[in-house]
Amino acid sequence: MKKNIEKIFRHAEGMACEVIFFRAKNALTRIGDNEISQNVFSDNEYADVRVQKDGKNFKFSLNKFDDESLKNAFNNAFISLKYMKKEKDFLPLIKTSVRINSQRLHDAETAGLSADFRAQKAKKLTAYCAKKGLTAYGIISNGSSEVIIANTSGVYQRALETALEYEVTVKCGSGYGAAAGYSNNMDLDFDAINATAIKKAEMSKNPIEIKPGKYTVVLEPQPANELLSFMGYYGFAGQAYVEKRSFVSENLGKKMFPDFINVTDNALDGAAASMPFDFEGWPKEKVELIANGVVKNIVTDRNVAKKTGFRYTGHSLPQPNSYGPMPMNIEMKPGGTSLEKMVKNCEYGLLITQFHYTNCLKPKTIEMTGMTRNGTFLIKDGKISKAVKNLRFTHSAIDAFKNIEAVGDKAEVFGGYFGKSACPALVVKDFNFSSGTQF
Amino acid sequence: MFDLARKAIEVLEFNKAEFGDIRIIDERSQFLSVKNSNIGDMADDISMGFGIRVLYRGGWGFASGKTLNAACVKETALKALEIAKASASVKKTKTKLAYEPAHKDYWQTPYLKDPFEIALEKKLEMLFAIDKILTADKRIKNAYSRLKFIKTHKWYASTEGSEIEQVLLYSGGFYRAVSADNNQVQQRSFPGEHSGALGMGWEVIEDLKMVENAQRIREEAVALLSAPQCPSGEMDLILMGDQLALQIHESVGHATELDRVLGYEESYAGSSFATTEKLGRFKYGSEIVNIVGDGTLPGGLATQGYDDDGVRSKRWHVIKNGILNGYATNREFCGRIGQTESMSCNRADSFSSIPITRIPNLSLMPGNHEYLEMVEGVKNGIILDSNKSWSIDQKRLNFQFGCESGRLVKNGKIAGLVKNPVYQGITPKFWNSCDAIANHRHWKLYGVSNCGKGQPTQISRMCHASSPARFRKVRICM
Repeated sequence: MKKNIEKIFRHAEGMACEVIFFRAKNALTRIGDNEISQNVFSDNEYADVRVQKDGKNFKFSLNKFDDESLKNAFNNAFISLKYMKKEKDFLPLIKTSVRINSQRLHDAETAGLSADFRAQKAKKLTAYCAKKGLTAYGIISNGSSEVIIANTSGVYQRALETALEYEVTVKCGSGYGAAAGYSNNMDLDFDAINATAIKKAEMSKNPIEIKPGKYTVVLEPQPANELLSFMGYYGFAGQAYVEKRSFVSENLGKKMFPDFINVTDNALDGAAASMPFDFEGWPKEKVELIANGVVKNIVTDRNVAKKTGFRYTGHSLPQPNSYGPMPMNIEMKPGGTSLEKMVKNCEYGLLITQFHYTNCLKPKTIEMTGMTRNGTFLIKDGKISKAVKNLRFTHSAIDAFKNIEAVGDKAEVFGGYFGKSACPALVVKDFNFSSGTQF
Repeated sequence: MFDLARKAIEVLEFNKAEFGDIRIIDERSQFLSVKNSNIGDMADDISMGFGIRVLYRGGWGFASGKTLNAACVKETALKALEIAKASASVKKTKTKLAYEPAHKDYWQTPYLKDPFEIALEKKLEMLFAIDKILTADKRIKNAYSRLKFIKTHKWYASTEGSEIEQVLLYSGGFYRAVSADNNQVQQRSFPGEHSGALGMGWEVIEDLKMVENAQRIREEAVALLSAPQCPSGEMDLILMGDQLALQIHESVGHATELDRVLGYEESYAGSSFATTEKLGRFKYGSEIVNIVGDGTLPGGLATQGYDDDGVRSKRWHVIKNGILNGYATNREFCGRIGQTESMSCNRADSFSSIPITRIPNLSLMPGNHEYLEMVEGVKNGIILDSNKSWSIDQKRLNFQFGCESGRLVKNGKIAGLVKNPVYQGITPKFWNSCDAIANHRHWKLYGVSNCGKGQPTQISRMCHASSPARFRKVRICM
């Protein structure tokens, strides 16, 4: 990659130039109806190239690095720049003397897992399910990615990462159960994931209908993470703050949530760590978003930092872009309550395994909607009593956070549209379900 | 390019694969946006690569690469074969493909003006003109406008002897004005959250009249800040435009993808209530509801000569006179419902993705009502046309959609603007409440460019054409 980057800089003919180089090798085996239904491998690399001249940016991306392709792409860029006007908020390429070569999240064994390895895992699950009259669905995926950000001002940052994902959904008559795991290395308990999904499916048979309304909910990490991710995306993104689209615009520094709520964006060494620099090559900082229930900070890029006077926290997306800075490594600090204890402490409520197809109705209040899925259970007097038919929730994530009564003792890691997040289980009171469905 | 493709075919034939194909794709895309008077995105991208599929002892394998030489193509073909062998070890029943004759053909999207030959200056002038109008009011906190163009050149070859070359074109424009005060955020988009793109050339942009509509959109976004909240209750609903397109997409399109119906998407987006025993008998909608899949629709975003199975594009009824009549199918699954030919719905979003069953261009056929007559037939109702949020359950039954704004209808007359309208329903009950559809004069194509499906996730595009339609007694909330 380094040679290709140097080649790109040569073709820039003295113009300021930035390259974001991506290389990814990914394999995914998909299970459907107790068999391997799809099995894919891709190996791709491409470069996003940004050139600057006279206060203007132009970008192109390509995955061919021969001289002719580069010459054509740069010629197009030179011509295009002539037509463009100087940008109002133009910033020159970043400079930093810090060099980052992050490899701690890379594991060679994980990167090299074979199709046979994945097939064996699939076979173990599907053979068991077929024997027991169950049906298995899911994915086993492994891959490695490399990102290099370099510019003609001397920036050169590199991050290598691997990922192993295993997701299982099991059908047992009318019941469905699911479980999943994500890791940067081989530290994934496939058998435990299988067992959880199977148990939930078996418990979910013949669900009863309950009335929509407000319930105390014990949210397992996946549904809890949906609330957390929406809070991050709609609440703590710097551009939304500046444009007053975020609740944080009027509430920075205010205590809004219980004392034990602590949320950080931590790309460096937290549970949701990944690339420790942003897409301009600036080192990321750990940012306290909520500290002891107080709304503390937003994440910034250089544009937002300039407009707000806040510190540049290293959260730029590839520039230029229309989203602004995003928190991409959100984690909620675990508390002291196990999931088992959360259920035991609940007199009457619902245990939720997953939220499905969530969306935001009102960005300012982060009013969300979505469905429960793959294991929704009524809790009575501290025990799981019956499976219930799935419900639609319509509720503000901000109100949900205000009503958190307990935080789980173990965070699980999830991938999202913008990076990773890590979230424990949560108990939330008065959570609103607006309608139900037929299964 | 076919010389290179044949290298892959030779390897697969030599290794006795039951079936194999290769897609070589050369794609250029241009994406420009202006946000709050600044350049938001300014990108001109090219990518080239190939993807090889293999069926070996009934198991699938797929591998992709980007280096276009014989050695790399052969190596990738062997990789796909290795993966197929692993798949074959965990198969209940061997995959068999429906028959399709070999095709040797060329097809391209018809267009008038190549958008890549339009000067960048002209495109930027348009976006900045829109921005100037949108930002003229300080209550607009976020003004965003964009243009996007994609040209895809595909070469397809298979072990059955097909060699198909296609050139597909996509052109789209869109903008959004977001207003905010201390308590709320409102938005208005043009032509709609999911719309603005068609399978055509620059003429799509010219027809949109984006600059001409910008003042109205700005004024509506500001008006929403002080508009009354949409009332809750049971009302009659007239759906049109972008929102009706999404209704078709989510509650019919995805529900009738056969791979989903058979359970193969269970681990991600779920399955479907429209199971195969319902085919030909289930009352999906009222008798006036006819929904047609059409891979040949002029201007459609999913329109092409052949799909990524090498199957010639087709047109068929998914819902006919209200009855479930068909599904979106590919060569692998159509046999499960006793069909001997695929409906040509297998598409991949890039050279590095495997083709999967996708929603085709799927359209509600026009009815015989005049639009104003439909409005006059509403005592207590609302008109919704621009989507803002969407959510549906994993069997495509319980849905909830939010729109940017609504116009109330009282005793047959349009009464006023309301904000935050949301409606909810159960799919077959909803479509069975459709009692009027406007005539062909109102029939228009709306594109959805961000349909996500599959693992790894792929993004696909398709059109949903419709005339306004009326639905009785729908639950309107908040």
